[in-house]
Amino acid sequence: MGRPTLRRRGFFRRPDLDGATSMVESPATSRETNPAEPGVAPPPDTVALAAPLDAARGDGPARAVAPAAARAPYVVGDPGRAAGQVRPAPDLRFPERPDTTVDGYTVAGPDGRPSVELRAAGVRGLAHRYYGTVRQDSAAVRVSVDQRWLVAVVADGVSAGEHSHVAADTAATAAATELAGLLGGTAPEAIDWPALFLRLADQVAHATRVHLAGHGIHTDGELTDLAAQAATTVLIAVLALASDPDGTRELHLIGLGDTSAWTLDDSGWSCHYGAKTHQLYASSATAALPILPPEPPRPARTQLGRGQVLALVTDGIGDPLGDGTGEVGAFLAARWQAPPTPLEFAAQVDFARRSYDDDRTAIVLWPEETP
Amino acid sequence: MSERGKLLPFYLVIDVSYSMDGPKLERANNILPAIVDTLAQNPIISDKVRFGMIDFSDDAQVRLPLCDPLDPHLVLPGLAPRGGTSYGAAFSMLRQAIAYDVAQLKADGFAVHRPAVFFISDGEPTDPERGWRSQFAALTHYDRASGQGFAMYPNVIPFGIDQANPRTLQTLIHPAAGSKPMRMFLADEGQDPAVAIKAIAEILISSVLASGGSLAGGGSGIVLPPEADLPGGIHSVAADEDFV
Repeated sequence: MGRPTLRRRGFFRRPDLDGATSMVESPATSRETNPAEPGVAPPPDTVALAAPLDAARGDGPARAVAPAAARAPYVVGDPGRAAGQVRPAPDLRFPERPDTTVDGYTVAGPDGRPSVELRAAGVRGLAHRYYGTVRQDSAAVRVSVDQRWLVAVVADGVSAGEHSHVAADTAATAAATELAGLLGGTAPEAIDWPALFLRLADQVAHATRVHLAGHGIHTDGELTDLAAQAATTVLIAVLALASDPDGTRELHLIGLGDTSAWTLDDSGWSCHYGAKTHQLYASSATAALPILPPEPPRPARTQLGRGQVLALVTDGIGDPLGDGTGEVGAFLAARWQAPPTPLEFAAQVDFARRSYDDDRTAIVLWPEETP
Repeated sequence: MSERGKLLPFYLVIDVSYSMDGPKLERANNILPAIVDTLAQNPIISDKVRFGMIDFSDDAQVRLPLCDPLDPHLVLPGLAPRGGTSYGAAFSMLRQAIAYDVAQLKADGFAVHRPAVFFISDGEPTDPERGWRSQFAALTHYDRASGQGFAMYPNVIPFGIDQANPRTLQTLIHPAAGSKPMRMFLADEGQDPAVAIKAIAEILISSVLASGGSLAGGGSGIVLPPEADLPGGIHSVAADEDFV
């Protein structure tokens, strides 16, 4: 197979500097005295030209583009330039994969009564929309046959791999399906997680090979070569559909990488799994299948308290959420006190905030209050 | 740790000794406007790039404090020649600037990626080697295990034109090894140095675009263009490459 590479279409197209060199004779004064020159930031709500440096999209004529509000109904703080200027381009290599997915329904518990209200949305990030590349997040939900357990899985395909959406889809679907089957006869704490992650890694690697072969890319190489084409985080939540007598719900969390699990209640957000460690400099490096770390992921067994909401999110949301105490935390907390309509939920997941242009996926679960 | 945004800082550090006078400096004066023009066309990248410029001669001066290059109030500085070539002054000023800028951005609530430094010189340093070597070590040395050194150290990408000594510049590549080693870029033998500076500007812009683009996930900072995509008249060399 080909050498692994971070290169994306259009990224290294050489810019033509002739316009700039002929335009500017005296750089010290050019921008001050010529505010209408190219190179001056447009006012926030009017945009002349948003064509990317991507030959595939062409350099069309300057056209007016709708202001940020028309594309992202929710803005949190400074929306940045991209929210108003990016005109989403499709990824013509993968036309079957939508820009946005939305789901919403009520899951019944073992007694047949409503147990959990679910909202799920996957929204392609502004960067992928701009470059015309596919949404790489994925999510899956299953219920065990006995209706005692809800399994929710979120997977974040690593952007460096051009085919990572295949890894994400495979990990999410395989984990949710297998666990829903297992939980029909096995308690969550009895599940052999290391074995499950080994199988997930195998399934991701296999599905990637099959997919790549279909695209004429042959992969008899190392697992790291495969991971350079397609890799994914995975986060699994197993939530009891029946409450304990005190109104709490048994909850098991396990995952690999920077996809995170949060609870929301009157005191705000708290992260229970997948939190990024605080470092001097930011990094988007993450652990990802099909590569398994030397130490297998460890499950966390906890309780979802009465009145608490559970949210599973990719870092497209986790990063701007930070520690949950900022503007994004307040925005989402205010809107997710109770389940919004599914379409509203997706629009909220698609909030605009400067520089946060990664794919976003959220599964949010609102347990029904038991009398 | 509330996140106001993710930023990728770039520093352009440029030699303005007298040997740069004339067409070379004229071309160098076009680098920032060209970067601004490119960023104005790419809202994804311009939302997260910060740019600063330091020039150096016998002393070093911050000519453009780290900023959003599309800030409408911004006035781009012009470069003028003065004096000799003190690498030590450049490295010392750079360390100060990075320490201040990163601390300020983090205090303002931004997540910051490791800065990238584009270091452009056309000649040998004129200050004593022991001095500039120790300034360079102060800028780049960091021992993760003991926490000794400068944790905010940048990635350094040297660019050599004209009379610059490739062997000297090669020792300024940082990091020289590891999972993401940097490279240096050299004008080809006999290449018109003014034309080479234009090519350097193209490499800077490609790198800014690719680095900003890679932040959307997986990547974590500076990305240099592959050899095959370099403009004519310039080539790249790794820290451990024997190029003569």
